[in-house]
Amino acid sequence: MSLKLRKHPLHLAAPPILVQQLQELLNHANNYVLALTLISALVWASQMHSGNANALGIWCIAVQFVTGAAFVHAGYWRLRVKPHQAYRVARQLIVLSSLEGLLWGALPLLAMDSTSLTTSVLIVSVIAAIMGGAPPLLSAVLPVYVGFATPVALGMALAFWMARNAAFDYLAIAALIYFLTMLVGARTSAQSIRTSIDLRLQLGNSLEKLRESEAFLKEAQEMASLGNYVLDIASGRWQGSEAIFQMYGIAKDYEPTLAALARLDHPEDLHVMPTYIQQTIATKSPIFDISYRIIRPDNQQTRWLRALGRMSFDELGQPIKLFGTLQDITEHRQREAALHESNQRLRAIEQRQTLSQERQRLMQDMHDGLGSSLVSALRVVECGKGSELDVAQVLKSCIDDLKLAIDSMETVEPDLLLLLATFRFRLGPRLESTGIALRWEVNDVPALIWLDPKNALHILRILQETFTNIIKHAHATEIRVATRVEGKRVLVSVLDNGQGFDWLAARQHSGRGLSNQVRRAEAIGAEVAWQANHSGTHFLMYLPIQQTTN
Amino acid sequence: MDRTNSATLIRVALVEDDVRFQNDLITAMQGAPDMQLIKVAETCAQGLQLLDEVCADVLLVDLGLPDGSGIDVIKTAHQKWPNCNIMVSSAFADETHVVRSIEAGATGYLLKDSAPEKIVFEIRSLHAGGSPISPLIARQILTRFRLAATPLTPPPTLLSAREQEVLERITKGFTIDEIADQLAVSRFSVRTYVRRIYAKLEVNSRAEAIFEARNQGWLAK
Repeated sequence: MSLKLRKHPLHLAAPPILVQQLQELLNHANNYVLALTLISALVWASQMHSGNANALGIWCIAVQFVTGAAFVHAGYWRLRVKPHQAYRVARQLIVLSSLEGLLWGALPLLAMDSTSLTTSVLIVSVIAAIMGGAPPLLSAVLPVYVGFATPVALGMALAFWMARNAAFDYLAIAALIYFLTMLVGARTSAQSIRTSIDLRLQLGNSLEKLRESEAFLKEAQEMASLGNYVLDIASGRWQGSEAIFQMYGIAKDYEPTLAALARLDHPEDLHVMPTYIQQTIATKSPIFDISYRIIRPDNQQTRWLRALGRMSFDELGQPIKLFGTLQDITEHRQREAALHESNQRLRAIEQRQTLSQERQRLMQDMHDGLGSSLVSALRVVECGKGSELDVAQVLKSCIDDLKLAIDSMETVEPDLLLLLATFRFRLGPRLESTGIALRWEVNDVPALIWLDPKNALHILRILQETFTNIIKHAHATEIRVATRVEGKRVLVSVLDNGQGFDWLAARQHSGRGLSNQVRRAEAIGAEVAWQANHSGTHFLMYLPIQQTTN
Repeated sequence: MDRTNSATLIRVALVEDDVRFQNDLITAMQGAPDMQLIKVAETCAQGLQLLDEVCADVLLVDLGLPDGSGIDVIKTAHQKWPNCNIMVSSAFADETHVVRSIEAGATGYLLKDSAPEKIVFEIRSLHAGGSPISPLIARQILTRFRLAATPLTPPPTLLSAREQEVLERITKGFTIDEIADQLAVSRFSVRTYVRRIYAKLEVNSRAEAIFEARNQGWLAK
């Protein structure tokens, strides 16, 4: 059977809805079976003594048969119809109801007698009653009703018309009008049944979706140990999701007030929550974020909870409710604490390492400089070779060494000029005592970010060596110290007006002096050079402004 | 040339536990007719006692005393003898200790291993109104004044442009003489600039201490 998808009155609805409609219909089957069988029997009985009793007898049996079939059919299919069977069942019902309609439609033709008025009245009233009772029972699926009602109406009209009685003609017309009215009524009834079915299905769908999303939310909350709550400020009563009960370790029937929850607070965090709520109300703060500890009543565990929320206020600014979430952050806190501790330990280790490195550096420097100087001073005294003045000189230079080392440690600024200034301050007097004039011709230079105590000491030692060489060997009367920027480097130049020494000779004479300076310069990424002529020696130290990482 | 008051005798008092330095000082002052060592104390307690007994023009205090820090002696002396110049003596004169002493009221410092002439020169200079300084000390003072103004402290006395200039040149390595030439002032003027700077440092430190004490008092309530 072809399905009419356009919305004309006799189309069959889609299977999910058709099933509901058939259900309505099949439920009513019981209602009329007994009535129809009895009525048909009574009609036959009333006509026992008329001429067409036999025909009516056959008719009655036929009615019983078809009604019985319909009853059995309905009994079987009631509550059993599946969507894929809906069309089949509907077609079967249409066929059955059409059969019934034909039978009842045949009744007027069989039994009506223009001579006997009572018979005619009886038949007419029976048909009228059946026609009137049909819509509520059959209109759920409109084609079923139409299948039933049309033959009945036509049979009736035909019987009237064939009676060749003017009065009956009008009755025929009345019957037809009556039929049409019934049709319209049946259609309206079908529509309202359809609407209620639609609503019922929609509601079912919505409920299903709601239940799904509730279950999902519940699971999510449980997984995150996160619950949500609403607290009524005035009464102190709260409502919340299941997760809250789980977090607190309380039963669902635990007293739902803030005061009752506060009883579970950790002794050190008593009343933290209520106090904070009061504070938030007083300051009307939009932020509500507080962590506190509880002791769970079910397993005596101490747990950290964090409450986040938002307060709602009425028009007068009075707080009404607090909405928010509560989360168990115990593990989170523990991880934080562990991280903090390991950070502390790491920092302590780093510090110890730095200190140990510094110690080593200083020991090296002292051993190289001070250590050897003091030993040579001791030798001089022991051998008795040098004069007191020589020993005093050595000791003075030891003290200078020490002072420079200390000064280098004070270096916190990347300021080269400050370093040079300190150098001059320390060694200036010694220079003065030799009668050499010092011209200080420094210019501002950019900051050297890499200037730390280690590098500062190297620079000081290089300069110290340079000055010592000049004082000892150069026979100069004037030293000029200058600084300036040259490209990506800073130049420190020390110019003396001495006799311009022989490079090799000086090297041999002062032992490892010059190579020490080269070594130290390399250690800090600097370059040292000497230019000597008859009028003096020019010592140049090039310091990079930025160190390339090596 | 420093203006020295040769008419009056400079009375020097010493708080020092190191006997060698005591002797150094005595030897140095033997060669200086305008000075007289009037009293020597060897501990902090003795030093405080000394302040009640005599009055000196220049007080030399060692920071490393056996029974306490010389800073207390400096503070008390500054209170009791406002006209006395306090000098702190130290083996290395690292700027932290020197600046702390200045904040307590000292106006100069002395290196213990200085030559006798230098010692005498410094005492004379200090008495005349000048103050010694080193590049690192100058740098620390500059930092101190730069960081002075914070919302938690009272508004500090700030350095004048001239004073700032002097300190910066010192950090660049120029000597007092050279700075005097560069700024076209006398050498003595430069040393008095330094003296003024020290006084401002002490004022700020005192104001901060009072401020903090008041805060503590409030908090104690």
